Amino acid sequence: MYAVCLRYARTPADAADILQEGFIKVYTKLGQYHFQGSFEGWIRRIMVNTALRTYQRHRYELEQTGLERLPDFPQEADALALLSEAELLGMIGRLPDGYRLVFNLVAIEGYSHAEAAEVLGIQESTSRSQLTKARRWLAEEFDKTSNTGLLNPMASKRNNNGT
Amino acid sequence: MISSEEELDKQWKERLQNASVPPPAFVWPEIERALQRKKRRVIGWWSAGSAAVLLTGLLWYRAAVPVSSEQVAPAPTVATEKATLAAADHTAVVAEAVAIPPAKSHEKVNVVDKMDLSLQSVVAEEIFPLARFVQPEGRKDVSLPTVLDRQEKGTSLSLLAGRSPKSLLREQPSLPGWPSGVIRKRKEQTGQCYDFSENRRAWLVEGYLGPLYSKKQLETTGNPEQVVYRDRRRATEGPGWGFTLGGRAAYLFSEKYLFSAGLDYQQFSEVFEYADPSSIEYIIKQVLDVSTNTWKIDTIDINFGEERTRVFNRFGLVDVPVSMGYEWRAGRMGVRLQGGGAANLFFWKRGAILDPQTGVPGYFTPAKGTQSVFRVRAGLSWHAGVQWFWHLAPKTRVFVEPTFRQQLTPLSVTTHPLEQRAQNWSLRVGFSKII
Repeated sequence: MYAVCLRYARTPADAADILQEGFIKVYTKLGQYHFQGSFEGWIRRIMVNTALRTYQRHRYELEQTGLERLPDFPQEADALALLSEAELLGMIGRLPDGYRLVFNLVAIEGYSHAEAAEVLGIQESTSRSQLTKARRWLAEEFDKTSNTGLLNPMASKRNNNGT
Repeated sequence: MISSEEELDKQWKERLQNASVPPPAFVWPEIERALQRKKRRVIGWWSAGSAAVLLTGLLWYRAAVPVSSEQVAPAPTVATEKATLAAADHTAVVAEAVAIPPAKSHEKVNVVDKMDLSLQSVVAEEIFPLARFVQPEGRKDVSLPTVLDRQEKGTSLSLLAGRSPKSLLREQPSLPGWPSGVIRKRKEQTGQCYDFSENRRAWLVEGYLGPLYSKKQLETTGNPEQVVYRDRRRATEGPGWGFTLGGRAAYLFSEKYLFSAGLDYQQFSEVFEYADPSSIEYIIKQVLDVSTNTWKIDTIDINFGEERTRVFNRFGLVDVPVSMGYEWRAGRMGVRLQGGGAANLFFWKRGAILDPQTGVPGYFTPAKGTQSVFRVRAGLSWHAGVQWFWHLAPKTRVFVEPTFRQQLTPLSVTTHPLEQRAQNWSLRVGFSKII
């Protein structure tokens, strides 16, 4: 569950706070688990809800990072296999808040854009654009981390040739 | 291969959805501390009341029996009757051999007034109380004379018939003017227990109060569908805590056997808490952006499964308990085993439980009357207990009495899918008075 909290939190310290608050809720609300669905899923739901409440409480705004200028470069299959889970979680954590929440809900948790928009209190179109921007941001970050040049293959070749 | 964005999302999901990262070491101690802070100490009023009862008893005991550094040997018990002697009446005379100067004639003399002051104080303070324990043979109900008839020769007055000094008192050095063998009894010996061997029959009046724990019993009547409902009720209703108080009259009819009846009141509360797991509550605020003159919807909070109902269910029962008991005694203390049955006179209840038809909370309080769950009266129960008692005075006891009670007839109506009974555990603290 700590990995779940890391995906939603800005920093590891925030993730620890979310984990602590979430487990206290699990303990106090254990009697409300009526064996409808998996126990892990029920706990995960509590953790996600706790993380969302944290950012709703702090009124974080969905930030604009000017990524609209980035070209839409698709990535190769199995590109993520080059990085460890810790590195991938770190990349997620560096996402701007709005992008990170939408990416987690839609890409990883499987929410639809309509559901994510309702949960986050935004328009569905905003959810779609935020997800696209999150993907681009991650692609750029992935290139920096893995130096694969997936976004700009020529940059990778220049680096390799030392020019 | 060039993959689509959705394919990339799938990779992210596969890599991170079930990722496992150990949390920092400080997280678990922090969770434990936070959970411990959630626990609240509740000091119920019954604990304060029990402490007040015990403190009062201790103070009473201290006032009645002063501390003596001298070892007091247990004296043989004597018969006691209703001897009414005013404590401040210095003309009262105890049954004791006293040598006094012979009178000129047969006259009634106030013996005490003839003594010097030091002897008067001894009689008043130390010997006088003995009078309650001295009884003429064959005379059950007589008050001691306030004067003694002296014989002409003024020899030692005989004791009231039936008792000798040695059987009553411990040996003490004689005072001047007093014949040898006079024994003074000290006040501490008034703390003896009641002489049940001489008085095989006695009435006792008792009062008590104490904390109570109620354990609910929910049983199905054979229908498998009721199992789910029973489990849901168990998950939403907590244990009951409360108090009990009452009084009874007991008749000791054969030195160690007794029969009692009285009135007993038990009240307890439980928490009913229910949250709909499938509900989602959105708390939304509309904010007017004055620059664009548009309303912006802002979600303040989201509650998953938080459509909560929390009610304190309360129950009260007035019963007439009837018991048989057996006592063992050793000096001042003793133990009584008792048990019997009780019939309910009055049963009040209010609160809410899950409706068996709809699965949502519904009140069973008669005034609100949304569902019929409980009977008008609680019916029959049986109880058993152990009483440990201690004599503060010959006719006064304090006791501690753990008691168990099992409801025999169901508290719920026959139309309810479950049979509800209760097991009540209580720890009573009280006083007994032998009359």
